[in-house]
Amino acid sequence: MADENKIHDLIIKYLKGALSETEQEDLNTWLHASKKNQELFQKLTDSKWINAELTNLYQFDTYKGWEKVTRGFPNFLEKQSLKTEFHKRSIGRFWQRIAVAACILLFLGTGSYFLIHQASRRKSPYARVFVTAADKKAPDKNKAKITLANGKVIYLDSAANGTLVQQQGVNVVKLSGDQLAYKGNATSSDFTYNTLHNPKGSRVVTLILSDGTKVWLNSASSLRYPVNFFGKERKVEMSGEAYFEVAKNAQMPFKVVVNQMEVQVLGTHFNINAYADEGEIKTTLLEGKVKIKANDKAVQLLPGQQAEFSEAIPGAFTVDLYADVEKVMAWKSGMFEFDNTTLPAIMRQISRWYNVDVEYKSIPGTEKFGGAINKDVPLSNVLKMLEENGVKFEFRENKIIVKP
Amino acid sequence: MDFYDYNDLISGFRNGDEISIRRLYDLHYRPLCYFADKLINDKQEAEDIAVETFLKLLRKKNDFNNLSDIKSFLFTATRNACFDFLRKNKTKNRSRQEFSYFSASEEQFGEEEMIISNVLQLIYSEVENLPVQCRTVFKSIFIEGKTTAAVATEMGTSTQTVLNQKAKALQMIRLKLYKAGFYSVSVFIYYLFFIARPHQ
Repeated sequence: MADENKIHDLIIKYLKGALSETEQEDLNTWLHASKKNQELFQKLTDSKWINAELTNLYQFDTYKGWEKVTRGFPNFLEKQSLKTEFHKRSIGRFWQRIAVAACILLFLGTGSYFLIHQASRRKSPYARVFVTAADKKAPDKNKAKITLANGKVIYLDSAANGTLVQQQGVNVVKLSGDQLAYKGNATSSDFTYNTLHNPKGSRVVTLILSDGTKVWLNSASSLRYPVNFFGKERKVEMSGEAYFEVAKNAQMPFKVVVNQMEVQVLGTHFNINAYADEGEIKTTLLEGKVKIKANDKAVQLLPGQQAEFSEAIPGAFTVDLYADVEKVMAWKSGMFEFDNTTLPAIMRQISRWYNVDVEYKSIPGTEKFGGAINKDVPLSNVLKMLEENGVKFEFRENKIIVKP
Repeated sequence: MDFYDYNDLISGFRNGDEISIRRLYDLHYRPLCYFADKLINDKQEAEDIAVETFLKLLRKKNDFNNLSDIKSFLFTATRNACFDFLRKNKTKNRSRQEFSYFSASEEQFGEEEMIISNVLQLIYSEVENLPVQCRTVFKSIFIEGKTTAAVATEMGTSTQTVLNQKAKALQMIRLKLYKAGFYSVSVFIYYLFFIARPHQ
């Protein structure tokens, strides 16, 4: 009879549908050997049973365990350092990491994912290692500010949680470091406008408008909205990038104005990317229906579709019927995600997130990159990933210089 | 036998690269805790055994050339540690379960748990290898049994996104287990096979 190691491999192969004929025979022999074996096999091929056990398995805290491992780790690392000189070691270890990342990239081939994000979720133990004097950490807080109708400015990070101000009976409440809500019943029917500005190098801020609409505002973006909505429509204005989950109200359509373009909805989920330096405005629909108008042209989208509008080409909409929604929404889930993306497009995202400038020593090439990385890693991690793909950088005085 | 082409991970691990080490740790820590807990019925002790086992692996890192040897070392070492733990505690608190373990030989100790935990480790690593959003959706729906709508609310996203991610996850998870109606059918076929096949 096959030994126990063989058995679990056979079952695994069975689950993967990869059993050879002889392996199938071995598995059958094992199954025949006892009723106990058959019962065990039945459990392992029952997804309900498996899911229940996985729930138990997931109870264990990986992070806590890792802290204990690293506490036992120093001895292990010291032994390493005896073999090589210190600076060599640090450089060597550094290049090893890149080599590993590169191997993973090669292994995964086209459309590759930088597996680094696996290691850098939560508090990454490696993040510290990478930060050097000429590096920049990912933003760790929100630096958004609200400009009130009277010109007064409130900085989110310097205010405590709770009601920040009251306007026309509506309270502006700070729910947490990156969440704001407008709550209460209006006492006046005048339009009072506030502007929420989220600068470069700031984390995503979430805003709940007085009608219940939820807006996620990316870095380097602004939203202008009334404290309360009246009349026939709900109208806001934006620049940069924002994701909207509009509260349903069939009587009052919700409108987002971006320069000459207008997005009209009743109650849907959609993303607008309208950074001026991107050249075009991309509206991506995740749920429901939207109508997009510009000048005298209009287009309607279905979920998963994306409309591109360029002011350079008047009145022209291009619709992508199968947009990569995950890529579009990566910013909201704290990821950089690239696919078929040019270097300048990547650098624009990096510049907004890390609040750095970018300078090109020569005209950037047309090559395209793919990959994903957690946005919480220091700038150097992202740059190293690109360097492994043949791009050369220098970082000084808050400026990334892209070398030919 | 290797199911994954993790050679890059192994060489990184042997070279003491922290990312590779962490990755190997992430793929095995929970399954090892689960395994040890099944054997000794003590969560805290199980976690300590899993950590200790992983440190043992690190001390011997140059002895390993493939993932399947690493996996089998981790599980065997965990089992042995559990065996020792129970033997030490035998006189202190002799539970029924322990008693039955010790009536079996050391070789047979934890045999069934070993098979279960090894299979779960594979499924777990398949899940953990999914892209972040995909993984969250998969875990919430399949493992925690939440509804699409509940997951959408929790993630602050639309139900359509959740559905998209769910479809993507099912495409990426290479296990029959999560194909609709799989288990009942397959088990049925297997039983039919037994009946039809004469005993050797």
